[in-house]
Amino acid sequence: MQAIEIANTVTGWPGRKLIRQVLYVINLMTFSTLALRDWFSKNKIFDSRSYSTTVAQIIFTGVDALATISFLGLATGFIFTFRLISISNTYGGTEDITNLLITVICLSAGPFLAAIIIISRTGSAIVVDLGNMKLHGEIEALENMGININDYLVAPRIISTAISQLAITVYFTVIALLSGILLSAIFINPTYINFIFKISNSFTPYLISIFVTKNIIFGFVIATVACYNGLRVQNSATEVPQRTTASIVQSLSFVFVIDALLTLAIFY
Amino acid sequence: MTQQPIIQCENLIPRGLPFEYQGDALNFKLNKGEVTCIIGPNYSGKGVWIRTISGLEDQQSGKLSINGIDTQNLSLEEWTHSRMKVAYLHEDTALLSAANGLINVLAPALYHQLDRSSKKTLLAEKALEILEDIDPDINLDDLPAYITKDHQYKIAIARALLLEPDVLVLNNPFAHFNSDSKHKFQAFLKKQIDKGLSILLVTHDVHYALDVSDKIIFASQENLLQFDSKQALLNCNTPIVHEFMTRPENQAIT
Repeated sequence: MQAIEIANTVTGWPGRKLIRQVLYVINLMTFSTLALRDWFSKNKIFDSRSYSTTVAQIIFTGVDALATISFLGLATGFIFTFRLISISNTYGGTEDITNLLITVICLSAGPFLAAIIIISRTGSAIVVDLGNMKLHGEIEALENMGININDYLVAPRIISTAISQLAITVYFTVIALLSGILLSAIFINPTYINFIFKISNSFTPYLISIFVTKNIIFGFVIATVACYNGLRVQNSATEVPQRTTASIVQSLSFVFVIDALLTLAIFY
Repeated sequence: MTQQPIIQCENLIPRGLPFEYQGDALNFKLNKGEVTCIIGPNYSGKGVWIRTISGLEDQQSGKLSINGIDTQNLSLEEWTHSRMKVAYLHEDTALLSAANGLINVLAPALYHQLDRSSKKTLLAEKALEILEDIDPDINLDDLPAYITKDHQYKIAIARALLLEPDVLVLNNPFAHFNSDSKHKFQAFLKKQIDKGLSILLVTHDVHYALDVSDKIIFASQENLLQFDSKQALLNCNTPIVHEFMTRPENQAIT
């Protein structure tokens, strides 16, 4: 009897874990759908009651992060773009190098590294912000005045983080490609400067749509996870760092999984 | 034509009382310009009663109507409107920590797009007028963390008043005031009442409650009693009321 119970416990654990994860994803989807429904039912895109929240979030997520993004873009240009061009120079033609740069820098490393920056910077800030607001009764006070939290706090953060993720990745990718190509032209072969034009010519509408979709999904998921965790803070100040850690880990996991699924969907 | 009450309770019993309540249900109307105070001993559930009466907590039984609309099945629009018209503030009502005093006052009004009916500058002027009236010494440029508790509360009051409520529901409003500032704040409330604002409040200041109230609700764990005048309360022979009113802190009234 005891052996069966142990066996059930062992085999039941992954099942329970899986069910929990599936339910969590459903919770997140419901949460974001309700937030966006409330926002779209009350606002027009350029005439929003939460306009200032949206703009403030875009400034924090996008504009304030430009220095960090620039530095990481330059580093990526040197570490990845320059190295890829110099290695590929030995094995393939310019066509292969162009495809490699688009696949690795534009469609993989760019969105992924931008997502990591947004998770660590914006995602954690959203959890701490909303968590503290909940803890100090600010959210209760807003609700008592008829303010819909989904419309006023959640949806603007989701929308602006998705927009910022896209903008940051464009900026990051441009810097990473330009700096790497310039270095290659200086140190390996001056004709490599032509990669700038080859890459821009090879960026088809199909690739652009993949790029845009991927980044918007990343930004959407990161902000949704952060808002959800921030609003789960209840009574204790210790919940804020706990929820922040949980949000970072969950966002990273989601970004990995979504990246893998999108890669499978695109290339197979 | 009879005026519709702002708040009407019929056989109301709150769900969230932290003890088993077997007393009477509440039948109560709050009309425009009226003041009703809820008084009673500590741990008598006054906070739960006032939150339920103002539509913030579910009732166990009975019916609550705000401006004639049953609060049980409110649409999102009706809920928003009812929350604007019944402004609830407790002693520690929080301000937005990331916004200064003036933005705190303006933010809810801007969210509700009250600047559409007037202009944004007019809304700001109105906010400054209310703040000037409530206390000209409030520093509006600082974040709430750098503002004293009594000034924070006054900013919260101004924020609520900018939404043009029909009734101000105040739960223990004088907790952060010293004697002098309390009297000034009470004078401000009196002006608002004279302008036609209704007030429903829970207070430990029985003197004030008896001075301003049109109706008094006495809450205890055993029962809920309503009085239409100060004299009716003072003449009441119910032991728990008599015991409460003859306490040293309340005795000056009798």
